Amino acid sequence: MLAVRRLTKHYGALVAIHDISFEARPGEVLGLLGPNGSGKSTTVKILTGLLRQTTGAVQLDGADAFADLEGYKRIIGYVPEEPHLYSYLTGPEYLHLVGRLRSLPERTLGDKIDRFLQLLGIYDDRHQTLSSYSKGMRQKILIAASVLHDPRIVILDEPFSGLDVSAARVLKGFVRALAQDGKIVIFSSHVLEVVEQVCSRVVILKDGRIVGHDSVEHLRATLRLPSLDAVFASIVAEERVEERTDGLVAAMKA
Amino acid sequence: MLDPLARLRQLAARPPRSPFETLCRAFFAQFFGSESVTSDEQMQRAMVGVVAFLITPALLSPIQMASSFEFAAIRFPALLEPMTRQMATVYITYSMVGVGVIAAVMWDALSFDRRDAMVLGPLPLPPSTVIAAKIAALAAFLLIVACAVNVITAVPFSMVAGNHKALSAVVRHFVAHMVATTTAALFVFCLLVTLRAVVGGVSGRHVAVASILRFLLFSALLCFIILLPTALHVEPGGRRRPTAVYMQTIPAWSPTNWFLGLHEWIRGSPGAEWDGGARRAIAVTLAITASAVLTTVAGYRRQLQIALTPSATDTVHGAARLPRLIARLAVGGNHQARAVSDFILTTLARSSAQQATIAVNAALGLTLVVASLLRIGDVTQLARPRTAVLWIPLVLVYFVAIGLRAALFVPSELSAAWAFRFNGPIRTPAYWAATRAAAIGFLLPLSVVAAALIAPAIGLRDAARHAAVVMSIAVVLGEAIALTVTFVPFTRPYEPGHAKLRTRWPLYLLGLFVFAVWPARAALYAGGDPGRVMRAAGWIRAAALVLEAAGRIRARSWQMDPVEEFRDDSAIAVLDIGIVLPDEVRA
Repeated sequence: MLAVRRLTKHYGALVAIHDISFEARPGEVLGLLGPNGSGKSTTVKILTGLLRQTTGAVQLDGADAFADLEGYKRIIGYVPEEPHLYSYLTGPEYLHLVGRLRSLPERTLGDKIDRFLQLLGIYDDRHQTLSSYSKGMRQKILIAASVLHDPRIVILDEPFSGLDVSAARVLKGFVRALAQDGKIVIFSSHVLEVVEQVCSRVVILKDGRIVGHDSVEHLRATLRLPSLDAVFASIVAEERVEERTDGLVAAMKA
Repeated sequence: MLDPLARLRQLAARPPRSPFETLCRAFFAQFFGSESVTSDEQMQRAMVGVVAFLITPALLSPIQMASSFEFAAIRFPALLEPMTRQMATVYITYSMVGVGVIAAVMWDALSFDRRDAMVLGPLPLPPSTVIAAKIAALAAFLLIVACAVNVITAVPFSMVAGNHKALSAVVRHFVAHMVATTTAALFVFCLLVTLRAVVGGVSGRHVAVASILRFLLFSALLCFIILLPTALHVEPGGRRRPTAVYMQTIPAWSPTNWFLGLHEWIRGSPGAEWDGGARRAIAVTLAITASAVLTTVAGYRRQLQIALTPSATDTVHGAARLPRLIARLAVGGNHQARAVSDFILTTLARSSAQQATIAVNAALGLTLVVASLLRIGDVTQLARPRTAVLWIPLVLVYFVAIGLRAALFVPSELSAAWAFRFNGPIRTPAYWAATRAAAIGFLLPLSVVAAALIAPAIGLRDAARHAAVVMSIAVVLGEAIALTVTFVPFTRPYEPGHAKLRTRWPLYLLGLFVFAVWPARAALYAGGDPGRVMRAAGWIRAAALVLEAAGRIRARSWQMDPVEEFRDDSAIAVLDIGIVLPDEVRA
C-alpha cells in the first residue's frame, strides 16, 4: 500500500500542498482531482520521487518510500502531464533508452517495444523522430515507457491528453486491467467523466488541501448528486462561473 | 529634432502596421534567437563575441597594410595599381568569408522549416505575404551584416588607395569597394540560402550539412586571418639586397576575381578582362539571387507539404552506427552505460548546437595545421614523415576532442532530462563508462580519417602505421574527456564561461604538446624500429590505463540530480484566465 502522510510542500513563501494524507491500495485506481493550481502535479511529482516534500512522508508498505529512492523508482511507472521527450530520437530509440536505463534484459526489450508500438498503433511511424509525432503519439510513447518494466505502482498525470477516442477507450480498459492485476494506480486528471469511469476512489484537492476523499459512489450518494462532475462543482465550489463566462464573451467582443 | 539613432529606435518600437511587417519582424528576430542558449543575455553575449571576432581583422588589416602600401607607392609607383587590386581582393575575400560565417551561424533561420509551416499555414495569410516577409527579412539581415562588415574596411581602404589622388578618386574607391564587397557578400549569402532551402526540402541531413559548412567557413575565416599578413608584404632592402614587395598570387579560378573585375570596372581601370569579370560577377550574382528566391518559395510549399504529410523515409539521418558500435564494445554488457552512450552519440549526430561547437574547434585545429604548413613553404618537404606532417591528424583529433568535451556541456532539450532522473539510477559508474565509451567511439573513426589525410604525402604504409598512433591518442583523449565530466552530458543547464579560455589557455597549449607535438616526435623517432614502436605504444597504453583508473575512482562521484527543486509552474493555467479579467470587463 502507498500512503501519503501529512505531506506539505512549500515553494519559498508559497504553499503548494498543505498537510495532505491519503492511501492508494493495490487493485484500485485512485483518482486525483482538482482545479489548476490545486497541487495535483506537485503531489504527483513528490510521489514519483522527482520532487522532495518540505514535511510529511510517503510510505510504501509502512516504510519510508524514499529511504531507498532508487529501489522505489524501480517499481514505479510514470506518465507526466507534459510530453517532454527527446525530439530527435525515434519512438523505439526513446523506449530503448528508458528500457536500458532500467536494465531490462536486452534479449526481450526489442520484441517488447515492437509489441507496444503495434498495440498502440504507432509501429508504422517507428522510423520517424519524435519531433514529427502528434501529441497523441507522444502520449502513447510515454504510456509505453511507463509500463515497459512492469511496475508495481503506476502514476498517470493526464494520460489521455491528445489521444483519439479509440485509443482513449483502449487505454481506459488498460488502466482498469492494471488495477485488476494488483497494481497501485494513481490517476490524475481534469476529465471528470474519465475519472468517474476509471477510478474507484478519488481525492479532491483545492488550494493544496484535500477537500474530498472517498469512493465515487459514496460521494455521489452522500451529496445526493447525479455525477462526479456535480460532486466536483459542489465541493470545489467554482464561484462566479456565469460572471466569468460573461466576462470572457465581453473580452472576446471588445 | 531626433537624431538618426533615436529615430531608428522609435521606428523599431512602433507597433507593426500590417501582417507583412509583423511577419517580417518575426523572421528577422529568428536570426537572433537560439534554442541552445538559455537566455537572451547569453545570446547577445555570443553575438557580440562573433561580431568582435569578425571585426578585429577588418580594423587591423588596413593599418597593417597602409604602411606597406605607402612605402611601395613612394618607392615603386608602378606597383600602385596591382597593390590596390591586391587589397581589394583581400577585402572581397573578407566580405565573402565574414558574411558566409554569419550566415552559417544563422543557418536554421535562412529558410522555412516545418514549424514555420505549421504555425503560419493555418493563419488567414496568403503564401505570397509570408514568402515576401521572409525574403524581406533575409534582405534586411544581409544589408545590415554586409554594411557592418564592409564599411569598416571601405573607409580606410579608400583613404589609403586614393591618398595620392583627387577627392573624387577617394569617393570612387569607396563606391567600388562597397559595391564589389557587398555583391560578393550577396553571392555567398544567396548561395547558402539556396543550399539551406534545397537541403531542408529534400533531405533530413541539413544539420550535418550546416556543421560541415560551419567547419569550412570558420576554417576559411581563420585561414584568412593568418594569411592576411602575407597578402601584401614589403621587405626593406639593405646594402646587399634591394627592397622587395611580395604579393600573394590569387588563382585564376577564384570567384574573388569576378568581383575584383566589378571593382575595377567601377573604379574605371582600363582593360577588357575587368569588363568580362564584372559581367560575370553580375550574371552569377543575379542567377544565384534568383535561385535563392525561387528555392525560398519552393521551400515554403515543401515545408507545408511536409507539415501535413510526414515523409515515409525508412532511415533517420545521423544514426552514428559505427561510433555506437565502438561504444557498445567499450561498455560491454552494461545496459545503462549502453543507453547513455547511445544517447550521447545520437545527440552528437543529430543536434545542431553540439555539432557547431565541435565544428568551430575543428576549424581552429585546421587553421593551426595550415599555419604550420605555411611555415614550411616548400611542398616537396612534406613528402616524407616529419613532425609537421605527422602531427596533422593528431592536431585535428586533439581539437575535435576539445570541441567534443565542450559539446558535452551544451544542454540538449533540458525539459526531457526527467527521463534520466526518473528512469536511471541516481549514482552509478555507468554514466562515466558511457561518456568514456561515447568519446572513444566518436574519436576513433575520425582519427582514422585524419590519418588517411596524410597518406598522399607519406604513403599508405607509413600512414597506416601512424593511424595506430593517432587511434591510441584518441583513446587517451577519450579517457581524459570522461575524467573531466561528472554528469550525464546534455542534461544540465549551460554554465557560461565554464571553458575558462582566458585563464586556462596554457593548459590547452600544454595539451597540444602532450597529445600532438610529442606523440608526433615519438612516432618519428620510433620510425620502423619495432623496439621503439613497442616502447612508445607502452607509454601511450600506460597513460590510458592511468587515466582509466583515475576515471573509475572519479566515477564514484558521478550522479544524476535526483530531484528538481524549482517551482513547478510549467503548466499553463488555461482555466484560470478569469482571475486576470479587468474590472471594466467584469462590469
